[in-house]
Amino acid sequence: MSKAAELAALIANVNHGSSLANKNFIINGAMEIYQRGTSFDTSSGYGDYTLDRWMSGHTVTGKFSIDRVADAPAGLKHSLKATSASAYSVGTNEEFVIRQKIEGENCIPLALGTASAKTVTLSFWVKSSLTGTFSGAFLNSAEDRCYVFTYAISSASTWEKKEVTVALDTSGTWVTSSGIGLTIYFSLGAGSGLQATAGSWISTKDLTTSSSVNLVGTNAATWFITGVQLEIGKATAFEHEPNQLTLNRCLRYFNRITGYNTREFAGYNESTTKGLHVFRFAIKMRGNPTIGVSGTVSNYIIAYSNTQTACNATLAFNTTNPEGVTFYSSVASGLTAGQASCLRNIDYIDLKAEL
Amino acid sequence: MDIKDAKYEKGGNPEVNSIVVTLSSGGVLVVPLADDNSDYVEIMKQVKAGTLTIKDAD
Repeated sequence: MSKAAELAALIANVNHGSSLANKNFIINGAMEIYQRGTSFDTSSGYGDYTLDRWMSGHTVTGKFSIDRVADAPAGLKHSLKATSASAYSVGTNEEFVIRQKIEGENCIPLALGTASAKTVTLSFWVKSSLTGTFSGAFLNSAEDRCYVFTYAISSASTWEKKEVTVALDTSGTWVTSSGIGLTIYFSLGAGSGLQATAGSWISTKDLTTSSSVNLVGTNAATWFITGVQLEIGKATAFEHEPNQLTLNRCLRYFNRITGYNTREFAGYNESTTKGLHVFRFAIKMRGNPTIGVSGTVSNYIIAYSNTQTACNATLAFNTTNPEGVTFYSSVASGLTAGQASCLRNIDYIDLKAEL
Repeated sequence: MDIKDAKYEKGGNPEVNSIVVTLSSGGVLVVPLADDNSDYVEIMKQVKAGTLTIKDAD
C-alpha cells in the first residue's frame, strides 16, 4: 500500500469510528508476551492458553502443538507456530483452532448486533508448509452468531499478509460487559459438522468451509501467524505498541508471579499454624481471579523473624476481588500469632481472570 | 479443564468461599465462587453435566 493510500485509509477509518492509537482490538498480536512459557502440547482439556491472550482449542488432545518462535516477516520478531502431530482424520464435530476472545467492554465501538454495526478488517501475517484455502470465524459468546471467512496461502513456507474485511452482525446478542464480546477463530481443522459457506452471518457455530485445509490432517505440517490486527474500517499498518503496554493489557487477564526466592507477600501470622498475606495487583484484573499454584505445597514458605517454615497445605483465599487478594498459608506448627511474616514463593503463583 | 479432584474451601472464613481444584496435570487451582470467573463457570458446567462432584469443605 502506498503512503498516500495508507493515509487515506487511516482518515477513512477515523471517520468511521476507529482511532489513530489503540486501534487494534487484538491484544498481543505480535506474540511478544508469553507469561506461561513458549511451548504448549494441547494435551489436556479443550482450551489451553498459550501465549498471552491466545488460546488453543481442541476436541481431541495432542493433535498439534504450539510454540513461540523467532520467525516473522520484516518489522515483527516472533510468531505463534502450530505443528501438526500426525495425519489425523478429523471427525464430524471435532475442531482444532487458535483463537482470541475479545472482552465485551472493548467491543462497544463495534456496535455489534445493532443497525450501526461497523465494518472491520482482520489483518495478519501467515505462512504454512501447506498451500490452499484456510479458514476461520467470528463468533459471539453464545456461539449462535457466526461468520466464517477464508484466506488463501499460495506459496508454501512463505510469509504472506492477509486481510479479511467483514461487515459485522446487525442482529444477535452480543456482550458489551466484562464477558466475551467477540471471539476470532483460526481453524487448523474442523469436521463436516462445523463447516459452512463463507462470507455471511449465520445462526450456528461453524469454523471452516468444506474445501478448507485441515492442518492436523498432515503430519508435521506447520502454520505460523503474527501481526494480527482487528480494526474498524480498512487494514492499516500493524500498530506496534510498547512491550510494557501490551504486558499491562495482558495482566488484566493473567499474571504469573514467578518465584525468585524472595519474600514477596507481606502479612502476619494469625495463629501458630496460619499466615495471612496480602497481594495488591499492579493492574486491576477483569474479575475475581483464580489462584493457580504448583502441586508441591512446600514450594511456598512462610518466612518470619530469622527463620522460615515450608507450607503443608495449598494456599487458600481469605478474600478476593479484581484489585487484590488476601490468602492463607498453612504450616504444621511453630508460628507466633501476631508476628509479621512474608510468603516466599519458589515456584509460581498464577492469577487468572481469563475470559 | 481436566479435573482430578474438587473440594469446597472456607479459607479461614465461616462460610465456603472457594473451590480447590486438583488438575490431572498436577497443578492446583483455588477458584473463587464468582460468576465472572471462567474457571468457576466451567466447574459448574461439569457439575451440571454430572461429570464432576465437589466434595464438602472440612
